[in-house]
Amino acid sequence: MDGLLQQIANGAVLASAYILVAVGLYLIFSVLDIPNFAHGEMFTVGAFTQYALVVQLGVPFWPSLAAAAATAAALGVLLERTVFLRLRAKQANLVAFLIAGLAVGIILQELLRSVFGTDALAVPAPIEGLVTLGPVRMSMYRIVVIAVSLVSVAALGWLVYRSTFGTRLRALALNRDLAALSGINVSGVGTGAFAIGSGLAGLAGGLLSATSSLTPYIGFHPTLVSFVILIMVGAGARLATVLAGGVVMALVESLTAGYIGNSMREAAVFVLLIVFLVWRPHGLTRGADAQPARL
Amino acid sequence: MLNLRTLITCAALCAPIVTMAPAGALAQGAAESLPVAVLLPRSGPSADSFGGSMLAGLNFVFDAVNAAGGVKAADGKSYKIALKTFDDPLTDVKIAQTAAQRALDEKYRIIIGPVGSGSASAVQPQMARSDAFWLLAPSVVPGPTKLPNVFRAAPLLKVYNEAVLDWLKMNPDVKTVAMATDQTHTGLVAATGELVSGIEGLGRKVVATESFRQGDKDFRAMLTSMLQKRPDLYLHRGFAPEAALSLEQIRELGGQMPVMWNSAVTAAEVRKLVPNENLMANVVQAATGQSLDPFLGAGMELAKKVKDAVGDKAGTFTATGHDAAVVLVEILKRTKSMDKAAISAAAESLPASALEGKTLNTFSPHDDGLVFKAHEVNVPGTLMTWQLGKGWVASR
Amino acid sequence: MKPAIDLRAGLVFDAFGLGLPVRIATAVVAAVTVYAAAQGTSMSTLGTINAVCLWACVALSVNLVIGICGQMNLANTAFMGFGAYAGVLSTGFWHWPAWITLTVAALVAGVAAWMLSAAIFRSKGLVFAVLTTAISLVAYSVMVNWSSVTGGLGGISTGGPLEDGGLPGALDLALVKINEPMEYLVLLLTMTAALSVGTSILLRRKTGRSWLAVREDEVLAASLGIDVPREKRRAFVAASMLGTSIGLVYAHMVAFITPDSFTFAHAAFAPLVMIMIGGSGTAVGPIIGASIVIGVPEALRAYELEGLGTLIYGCLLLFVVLVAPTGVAGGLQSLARRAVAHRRAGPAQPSTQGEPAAAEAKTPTV
Repeated sequence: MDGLLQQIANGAVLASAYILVAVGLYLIFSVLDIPNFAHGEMFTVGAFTQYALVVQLGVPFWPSLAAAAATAAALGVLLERTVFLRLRAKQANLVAFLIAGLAVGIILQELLRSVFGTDALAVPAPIEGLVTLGPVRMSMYRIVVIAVSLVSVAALGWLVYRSTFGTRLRALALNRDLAALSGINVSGVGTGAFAIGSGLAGLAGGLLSATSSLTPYIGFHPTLVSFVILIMVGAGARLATVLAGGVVMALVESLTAGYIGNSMREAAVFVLLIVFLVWRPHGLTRGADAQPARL
Repeated sequence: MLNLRTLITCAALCAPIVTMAPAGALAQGAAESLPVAVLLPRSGPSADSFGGSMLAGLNFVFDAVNAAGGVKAADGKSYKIALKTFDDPLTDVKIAQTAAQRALDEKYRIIIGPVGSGSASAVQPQMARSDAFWLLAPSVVPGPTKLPNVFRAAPLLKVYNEAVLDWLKMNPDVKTVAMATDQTHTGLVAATGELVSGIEGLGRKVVATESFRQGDKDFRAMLTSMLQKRPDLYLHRGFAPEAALSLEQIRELGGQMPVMWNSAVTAAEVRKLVPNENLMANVVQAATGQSLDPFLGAGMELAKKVKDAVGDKAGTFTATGHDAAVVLVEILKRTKSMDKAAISAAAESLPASALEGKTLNTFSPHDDGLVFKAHEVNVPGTLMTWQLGKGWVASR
Repeated sequence: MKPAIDLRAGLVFDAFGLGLPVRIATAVVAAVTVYAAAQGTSMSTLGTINAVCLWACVALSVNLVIGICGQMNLANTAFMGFGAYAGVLSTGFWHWPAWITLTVAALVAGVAAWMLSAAIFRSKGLVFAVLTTAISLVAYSVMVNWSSVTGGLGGISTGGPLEDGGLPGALDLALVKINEPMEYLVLLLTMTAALSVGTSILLRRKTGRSWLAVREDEVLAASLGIDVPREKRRAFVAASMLGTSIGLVYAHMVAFITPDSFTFAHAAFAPLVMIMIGGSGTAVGPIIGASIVIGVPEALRAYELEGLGTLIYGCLLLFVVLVAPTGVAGGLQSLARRAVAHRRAGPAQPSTQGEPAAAEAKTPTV
C-alpha cells in the first residue's frame, strides 16, 4: 500500500505537466480548430528559456518562469500568424497541418540543438528540502509544481467560464461565424487563445525543467499524450474532463512503470488509447453540433 | 702522414658520406601521407559527448606523431597520419553502413571505429569483404573481432562486471543488490546475465533487475518499487544523464544506500548534471578508463598533458581515442607494408612492452607477452569513488 | 463532333493523361537509365540509390491509403517492421527460403489488416491519425521489449547470431538469389517501376477513382453508391501487404536491423513527407519525394554539412506545405493541364478554360 501511494504521488507531478500541456492544446483546438502538432515544442522552448535565464544569465527562478511562459506564448503567436492561419486560410487538410506542425517541431529542435548542444542539461530547483507525508516522500519543489499547476488551471477555468474574454472564447469555439457576426473580434480572441495555450505549455516546461533534464527532443512525448487526451476526451468536453484525462494518463504511465515494467511506460498510454477507441471511436463525449465527425 | 694520397683517400671516403647525409635527411623529411579513416558521430545527439571527445584524444596522439616526423614503419618509410572523419550519428544503422562504405570507396585501408555496438554489427559484413584493417574502439559487440582484419583496442564488457564484483568483495556487508540497465546499451544488456551469476556466486542476492532507455527522465516509479525491497546497493548501468537523474530521484525517495554507476561518467558531466554535489556522497563508479578522469584522479602525468592540450573537448571517450591512436601507431611501426594482411600480422605480434608508458590505460600482456589475444586486449576496469570537492578518486 | 472527354484508351494519350504503352515505356527507360548510371558509381552511391528506390516503394505503397484514399494511416511501422523481422528470423535463424516467408508474412499482414480495419476505420480524421500513430508506437515497443525474439535494441542479422560473426544471408526468391548490391538494384528498380505503373493504372480504374472520391468527400461518395468502408479497407489491406513485403526486402538489403530502423519518424512520418513533397496521390510523386528526402541528407553528409541536414529537411517541408501542397508532381501536373487546356480550348471557348482550373486542385493523373 505504501508503494502504491508513493507511485500515485510520483504520478501527480507528471499529471501536472500533462494537464497544463493538454489544456493548452485543447484551448487552441476547440477555439481555433487547429491541430497544433508543434504544441509540445512550446514545452521545450519554455524549458530551455528557463535554463538560459536561470543557469546562463543568473536570473532568479520565478521571474524566469514567467518569462519562459511569455516566450512560449509569443512563439505560439508567431507560429499562428506565419504558419497556421495561412494553412487555415487555404483550407488545408489534416495532412498539411500534421506535416506543418512536425516540420515546425523539427526546425525548433534543430535551432535549440545548435544553440544549446545535444548534451542533457539541468536547472537547479529554487527550493531545497524533502517533505514526508506519511509513507510518501516528495521534494518540496515538486509539491510546489503541483500547487502552481493547480492554481494555473483554476485561473484558466475562471478565465474561460467567468470572464468576458472567456465568454468570447467559448462563443468562438461553438460557432466561429456567429461569433464574428455578433461583433466579437474573432482574430484577436483566436490569437489570445493561441497565446494562452502555448504559454501554458511553456509554463509546464519551465516548471519541469528543475525536476528533470532537458534535451531539444523532450517535446514529442507531451505532444502525443496531449493529442491522446484530446481524442479520448472528445470534441465537446469541458475543461474538467481534460483535467481528468491528464490525471488518468499520468497514473497509467506511472503505475505501468512501477508494477509492470519501466520499459513499457510509454507504450501503456498508446495501448490504452487503442483499446479505448475500439470501444468508443469518437471519444468520450460528443460535440453538441450536428456533425459528430468533426474531429 | 698527411701526403696527397692520404688526402685524396680521405676525400674519396668522405665524399659519399657528405653527399649521402643531405639525401638521408631529405628521405627522413619527405614523409608520405598515410590516410586513416575514423567513423564517429559528428552530428546527432552524441556528436559532442562521444564524437568530439574521442576525436580530441585521437588528434592529440596523431598531431604529436606527425610533428615528430611521422610514424617510421618497418618498411623503412615515414608516414604522416592524415585523419579523416566519417559521420556516423549512431541513430540509424543504414547511415553507419553508408559512412563505412564511403570510407572504403575513398580507398581508406586503415579504419578506426565504429564507436557504437549497433553500428559495428551493421558494418560487420563490410568489414569482412573489405581490404582494410579495422581497429574497433570502444564498441563492445563480440562478433567483428572474429574476422582476421578486425582488432579491438578497448576492453570488453566483462571488465565492468569484474570491477563491480571487486567492489562487492571489498564490501561484505552489502548483501542485496537492485540493478537497472539501459536497454539501448546493447553491451551492458548482453553482460547482465554474467553479472547476476557473478553476484550470486559471491553469496549476494539480486532483488530487482529493471530496464530503462536512454532519454528517460523519470525513474521514480521504477525506484519506488525497488526501494520496497530494501536493497543494500543500487547499481545503475547506463549513460550519464540517466545516472544523474536516478541518483537524485532515489535520494529524494529516501534511498540512502550506496549507489554504483556502471558507466564512464566524467567529472565534468557530474558537475553539470548533478548541481547539488552533496548527492554524490556514497557514489562509486565501476567502469573502464574511457575518459581522462580516473587517470587524472590517480595523478598521472600523461593524463595531465592530454587534458592541458585538449581542454574543453575532453569527455567520455578521450582516453579511448588516445589509447586507440597509440596502439595503432605502435602497430604501424611494426608493419612491413600498408596492406591489411601485413598490418594484421603486426597487430597479432604486438608486444605489451611497446605500449608501456605511452597509454593511459594499462594494456596488460597476455600469457605470451602480447597485447592482443584473439584480437582482444587485456585492460582492467577502474573503480572510483567520488570525493566531495575533488572528483573521482581511484579506490583500488 | 468530338466528345468533351474521350474515354477510349489511346496509344499515346488517354482520357487521363499519357496512355499505358507510353507509361510502361517511360518506366522501363527510366529504370534502365538509372541502372546504367549506377554502373560506374562508388559502392556508397549505389547504396544510396538502393535506399532511394526502396523508400520510393514504401512511399508508393503508403500513397495508396494516404494519397489516393485520403486516410491518414501512420501504422506503416508495424507492418514494415513485421515483414523485416520475419525476414531476418527466417533467413538467419530458421533457414527458410525468403519467398516462403514473403508469401506467409504478406498473407498474415493482409489478414491482420483486414481485422484491424474493422475496428480502426470507425474513427475518422485526426482520431484515425493518432490511432494509427499509437499502433506504430506500440509496434516499436514490442520490437524493443520482446528481445528474446527480436534481439531488442541490439538488433538481429540475416547472418544468424551476431556473436558468430556470420555473413549476411541472401534473399532467396526461388527464381533468383539476391545478394550483391547491384542485384538489389535490379530488384528494387523493377519493384519501383511496377508499383508506379500499377498506381497509374489504379488511378484510371473504378477502384482507384472511388478511392479518390472517398478522399474528397466521404458522405458524397457514399451517396453516389460507393461502399466507403469496403474501399477504405481494401486500400489499407493493400498498403499493409505491400509494406510487409517491402519490409522483408529492406531487411535483407541492410542485413542488420534494429528497432530504430522502424521508429515513427523513420517508417511512418518520412514516407508521408515523401508523398507530400513529391506529390500526393500521383504515381510518380512518391518517387520524387523519396529521392529528395533520402538523397539530400546523404549529399549533405558527403560534403560534410551534416549538421544542417535536419534543419534543411524541416525548412523544406514547411515550405512545401505552405507554398506547394500538391508537391512537385502536383505542380508539374497543374502546369501541364493548363498548357493542354489552352491548346484544346482555343481562343473562342472561355468556359472550358474555367473548368480545368477548378478541377486541377485535387485530381491527379500521370
